[in-house]
Amino acid sequence: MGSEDLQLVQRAKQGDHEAFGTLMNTYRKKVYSLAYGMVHDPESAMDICQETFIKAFRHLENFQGNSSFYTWIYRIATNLSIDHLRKRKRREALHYDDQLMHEDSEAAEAALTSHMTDVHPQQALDRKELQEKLNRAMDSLSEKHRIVLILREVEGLTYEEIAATLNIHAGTVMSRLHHARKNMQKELQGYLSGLPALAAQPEDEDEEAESEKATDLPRP
Amino acid sequence: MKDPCSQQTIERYLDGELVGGARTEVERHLRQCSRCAGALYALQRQAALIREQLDSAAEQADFSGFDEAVFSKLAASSKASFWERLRERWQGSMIPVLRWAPAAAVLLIVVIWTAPMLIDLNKNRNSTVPPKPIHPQTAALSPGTGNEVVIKSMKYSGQRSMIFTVSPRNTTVIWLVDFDKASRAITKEERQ
Repeated sequence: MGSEDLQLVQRAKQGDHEAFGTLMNTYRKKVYSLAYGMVHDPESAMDICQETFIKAFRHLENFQGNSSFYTWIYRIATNLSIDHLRKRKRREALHYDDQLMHEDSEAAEAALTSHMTDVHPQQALDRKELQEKLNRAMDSLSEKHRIVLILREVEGLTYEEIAATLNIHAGTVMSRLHHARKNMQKELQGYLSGLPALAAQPEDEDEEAESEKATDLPRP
Repeated sequence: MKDPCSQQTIERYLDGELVGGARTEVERHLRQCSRCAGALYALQRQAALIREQLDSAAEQADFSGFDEAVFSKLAASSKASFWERLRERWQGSMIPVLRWAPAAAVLLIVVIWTAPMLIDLNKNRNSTVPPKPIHPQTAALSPGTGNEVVIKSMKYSGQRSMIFTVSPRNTTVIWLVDFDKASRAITKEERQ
């Protein structure tokens, strides 16, 4: 896949829209998953997905093939998602409307479950509750923890690939993943109950911060 | 190898980051330790829940017209002004510090440009050496009266001359002096 992508990128650099279209078809769902995992809004996720490929096409000359195309495109999508979240936080700080937010999130989740017309109502309700719980659990994570979890669990990237995407050290990836999973477990206790909790060693925020300090790459 | 019961070892095993002997050792341990096996299962189930939710969201997304939308936005933005493209380039910069470089450069230039003025102002304020009055009539212009001036230039053109002065408050005054008349007035005063 790597060499195919490189060939397509070379053709796209010369203005071959069809080649770039092939790349979009290959990666748009993955990029959408990443964006949706970060922002939890279908419309915004689609905007971010489109914007990712627009940016990628505009900056194709910057892609030299030192990393894989998908880590490069995931980096663009990550930055756009984080920018979107920060803008949203600023807007919410100015115009906070609890009811409106609640209605929006319900509408988004209704859109996700609307296709399940042949699912038993109780199952649909359970599924909706699970989605809400998962969204809340993901929202409880900071952006930096959320993104490593998505890149690992959903996109299946290795620690090295995640490190390259986010420009951090592999050790930092490990510690953030551990923190994210631990927090998710706390939030999802009801759905994962009956199973042993993760290892009982006391680990706190300070310990994670220390480990990140020791393993982070020097900033450019 | 580290304690196979450790949280991080199990996570690394789950993520496929352990190979060879280390992986074999953990697998052996998992067959013997129900607690670690359960913890691994919990991690796998949690990962599956997240993956299922986001994959489902992607499957339900409507990508019809996606390619057209991207290319039409690209075509529209190629007509964007130079400043809009420059702003976008800087906003999209992968190296955050570069976004602030132009602002920092402008600030540095302003500081360097205004520093001499600030130093001059400070010097004038702190100056304790009064300039010597040249002529009795300049007594009114002596230090401490706040009226002292600096003669920036003089242009003599016969009887009448122009003197440009600049006060500490940077007020420019153009004097049109008839030296002959002034000289006669001074002589008359001295006689009296």
